[in-house]
Amino acid sequence: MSRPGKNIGIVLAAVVLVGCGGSDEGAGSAPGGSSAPAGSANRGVVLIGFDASEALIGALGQGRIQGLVVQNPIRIGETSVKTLVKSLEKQPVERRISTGEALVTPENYKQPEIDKLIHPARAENVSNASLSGPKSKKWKIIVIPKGTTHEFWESVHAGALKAAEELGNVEITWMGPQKEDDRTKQIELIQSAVAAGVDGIAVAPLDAQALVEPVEAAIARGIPVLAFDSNLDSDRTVSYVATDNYHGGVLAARRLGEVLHGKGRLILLRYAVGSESTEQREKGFTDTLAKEFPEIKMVSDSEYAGPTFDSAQQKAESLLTRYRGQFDAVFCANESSTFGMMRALEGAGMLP
Amino acid sequence: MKEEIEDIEGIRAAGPGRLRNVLQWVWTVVGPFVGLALIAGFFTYLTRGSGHFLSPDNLRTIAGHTMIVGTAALGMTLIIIAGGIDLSVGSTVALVTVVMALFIKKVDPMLPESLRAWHAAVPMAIVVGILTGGLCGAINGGLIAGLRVVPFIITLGTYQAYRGLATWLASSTTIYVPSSMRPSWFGGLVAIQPEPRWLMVSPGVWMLLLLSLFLAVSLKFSLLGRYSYAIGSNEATARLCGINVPGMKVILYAVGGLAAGLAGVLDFAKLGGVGVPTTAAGLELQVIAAVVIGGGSLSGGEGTVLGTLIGCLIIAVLQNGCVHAGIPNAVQDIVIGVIIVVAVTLDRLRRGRAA
Repeated sequence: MSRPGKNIGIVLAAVVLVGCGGSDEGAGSAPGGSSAPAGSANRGVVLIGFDASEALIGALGQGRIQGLVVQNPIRIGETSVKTLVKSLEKQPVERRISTGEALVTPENYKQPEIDKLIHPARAENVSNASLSGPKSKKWKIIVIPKGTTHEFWESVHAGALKAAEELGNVEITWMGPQKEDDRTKQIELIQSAVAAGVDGIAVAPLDAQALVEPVEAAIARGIPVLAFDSNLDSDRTVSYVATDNYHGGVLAARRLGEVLHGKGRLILLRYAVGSESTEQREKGFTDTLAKEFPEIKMVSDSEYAGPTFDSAQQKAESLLTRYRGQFDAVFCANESSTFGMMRALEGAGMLP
Repeated sequence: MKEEIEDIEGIRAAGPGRLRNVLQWVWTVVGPFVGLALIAGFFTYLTRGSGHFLSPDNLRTIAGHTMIVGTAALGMTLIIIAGGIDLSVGSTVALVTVVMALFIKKVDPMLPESLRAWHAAVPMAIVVGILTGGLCGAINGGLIAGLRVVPFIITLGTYQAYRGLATWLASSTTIYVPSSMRPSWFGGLVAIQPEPRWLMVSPGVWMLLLLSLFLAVSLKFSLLGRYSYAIGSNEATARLCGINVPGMKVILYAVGGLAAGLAGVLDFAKLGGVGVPTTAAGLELQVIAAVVIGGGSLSGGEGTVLGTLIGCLIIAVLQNGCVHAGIPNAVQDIVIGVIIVVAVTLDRLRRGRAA
């Protein structure tokens, strides 16, 4: 689904380049008014999203999305594995490691450092190692993402593999639930990994509370557990490696304020309850709006997109019918909800 | 009445002759066992390098992972024996977790201090959860008997409706029960490493075994069990024999619902006291697969508790073994799919030869 978006993206990116001459970092001081989509009178709904897939970047190139906050999944994967191994080797590790986030806009997405962030390496969804053979390396760890369908996780996987290659003494098994809300499956994965005798576990918890028991059971058996991407309600994990999600939300809110010139009506489509990372983004976003852009009014902020593209699109479609003509902008806090919302806006003809 | 039932049994048994019958029975019971042994052997071979696959720890883990599917599958066995099907199991489980979470959050603060110290709201919630499941099942049975629509359609409807109800009750979100309201034993109910250690496997597994024993005995000796086989073998004959078929259906689906409710309680405990309206999606298919792999026939009249348990174990061994061997999800699903088809085809072949 992301493939066709790329071609269109390239064609229209050229148009955008001609149109606005690619102003750089200074987008903040010299408001995006020069860029055609944001300023013109017949502009559609402003969409600000989170995370980058090819389809989203394509839409950004067309000026259909006004901003995307991107994370650094490669570094998340890499840092998680390295930190976990460090702790296995009894070296001190930091409790909280932030891996950085950046705002991508139609103006800056061509810059080389941003380009690297939005086109990260990806790994195929296969395990390069199994827990079955005799140990060929010193450490055997399992990395459990929230799901295996989002492109984001493929990049985290690539980062984890990169770390394993650099360290040379660690074997990685990559395995996650298929659906990004299958807590039971994630719990069972942790339990199976413990029984399979791994040395360490890196997990992106689907739920800050539901995963506590299996994680603490693993820790009680001497297997260190590191949380990445999303935190856990437990202080016994080795470390928490993730984007500063709150700050990501702040970046998104500032971009929205800038595009809307501080005035407008907004829909916030939330992701899922209990997902610490997206809740932090939403909080950073709403806090900043309330503080810095009091004239931007929230029309709806109580709806949840759910775990998949489909669920997000369905929810977005009903939101759009309900609030048609009553809002100027939308914020979504992760890849699937941004994509679902984009598709729904396209379908309703609300994008520029 | 009793004699009439035995007549039905007699008609069924009359055909192929006694020895054949015995052989058939042996194959029905032994077949799934052989399958399980083959699959376990396969993974043991794949993972021979680590030697963890057959470790007591891992066996405990596998047993623990059959708990939820197994409990729900007991109810499904009964329903499938009677020629029915229940697609609403997963939705019922989700509804139960939501109802329990809401119940505990609502009731706990209302209790007097002495009861709160004992976390009395939790045992009450367990009862409420099981009864919620039973009610869902009774509604299924009532609709099937009352509207005379096939169970597939009715439970396809309630599959959506119960999920929707759960989502609506939970306001589309997830309900968290604060840790102060959760007793420490609650998580222990489903813990892989049981406390005390001499229990060997999780208390939930023991419960599943006891219920299985109870159901197996009931199927063999109680009217409920006999009527189920009778209705599943030939509903018209059963009715002619004077069995109150509609009433039995309500009871059967209600019992199935109670089992689903109990599975919901276990899922709620496993989730650490979180009511999740999206949990257990697709559980019904795993449950049906377990019953079918274990020799249950979707055309009714056949199925055993032991077979179902083996079916659950086969699924759990597959999933656990794939983690050990590092086989990705997609392959797991394909393998489980193939096994279902193979199991049922073998079943057909066997019956074809016997008849």
